[in-house]
Amino acid sequence: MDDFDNIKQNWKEQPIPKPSRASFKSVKDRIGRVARKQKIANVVLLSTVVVLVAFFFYIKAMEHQDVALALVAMIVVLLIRVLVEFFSLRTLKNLSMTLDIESFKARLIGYYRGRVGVHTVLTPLLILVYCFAFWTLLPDFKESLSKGFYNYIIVSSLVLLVVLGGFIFVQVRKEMGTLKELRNP
Amino acid sequence: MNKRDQEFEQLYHANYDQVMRLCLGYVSGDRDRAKDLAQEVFVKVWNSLSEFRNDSHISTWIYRIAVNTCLMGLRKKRPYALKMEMESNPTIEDEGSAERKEIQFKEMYRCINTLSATNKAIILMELEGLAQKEIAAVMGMNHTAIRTRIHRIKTQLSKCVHHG
Repeated sequence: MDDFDNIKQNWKEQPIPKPSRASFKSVKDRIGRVARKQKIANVVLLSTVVVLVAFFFYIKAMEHQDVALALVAMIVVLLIRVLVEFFSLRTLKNLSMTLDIESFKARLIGYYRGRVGVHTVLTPLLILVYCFAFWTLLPDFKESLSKGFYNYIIVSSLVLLVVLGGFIFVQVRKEMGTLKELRNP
Repeated sequence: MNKRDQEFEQLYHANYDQVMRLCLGYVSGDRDRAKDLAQEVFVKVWNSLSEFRNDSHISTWIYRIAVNTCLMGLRKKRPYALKMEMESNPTIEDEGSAERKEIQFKEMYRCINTLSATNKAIILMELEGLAQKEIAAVMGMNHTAIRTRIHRIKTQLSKCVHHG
């Protein structure tokens, strides 16, 4: 018996717990959960749009053109990012799992290439637009807010920017790693 | 339980072992991760049942879904602990042999883990005893290419297990 036959024999001897009625039930429960999660995601996305638009009218932003423009820019940037994420997840979920492995892999590689593009080009661009819009709002903030709160907004925004940058970096590295692994023949 | 549910339950029980072993191979023997992946595989089997065209055996079709699910799982990858849990509590005499088996399993997973995602899929199906023609159909590659590749991976795996 050669080494590979030994491995093959060991392979089949692995202790696999017998599937039970309960484990089957948990699969059925998970099927229900997946469908519910999809519905919740749609509701959250729609609610976000409604809240942002309501906020815009609540603060009567249209009465001050500069403020309105900056707020619209920030809302649009957020919406673009949320929608990109939403469609990206949907693309991944809609990949046909019954494709042969090579075709599936090719589509998965395409998906990850797109993701890396989003993280390295689109997201930094959106962050720049968002930051610029935010910067144009600062004089209004300074005028209407207390000094302490104004400083808090500045510092927390900078911290958020650094955290976001770190998160994007980790995400890009992770997705590049997956891409590399998938490309390996 | 309706007829569709009953058929699915039969399918689940008949194919669970193979799917679980394949998932174990992808996650270096991490049982919790493998169970989770196996569950995900059967969720996808349920969602794709309408796409099954009877042009291959259902278990071959399930392998396709299982490997694709594992490939998708790469994105959630975290360092897998090489841990194995033996099913029963061994007696003192059995302890030596159980320990040896555990070491062998660990070694096997470590070596499988050195392969690329594609080669892993191929060799895991070979280890399950799938015919090379079926493996070729699952992979979407031609039979000759699969034969050559299996030969290469077998040598690589044997060397790894043998020499560490």
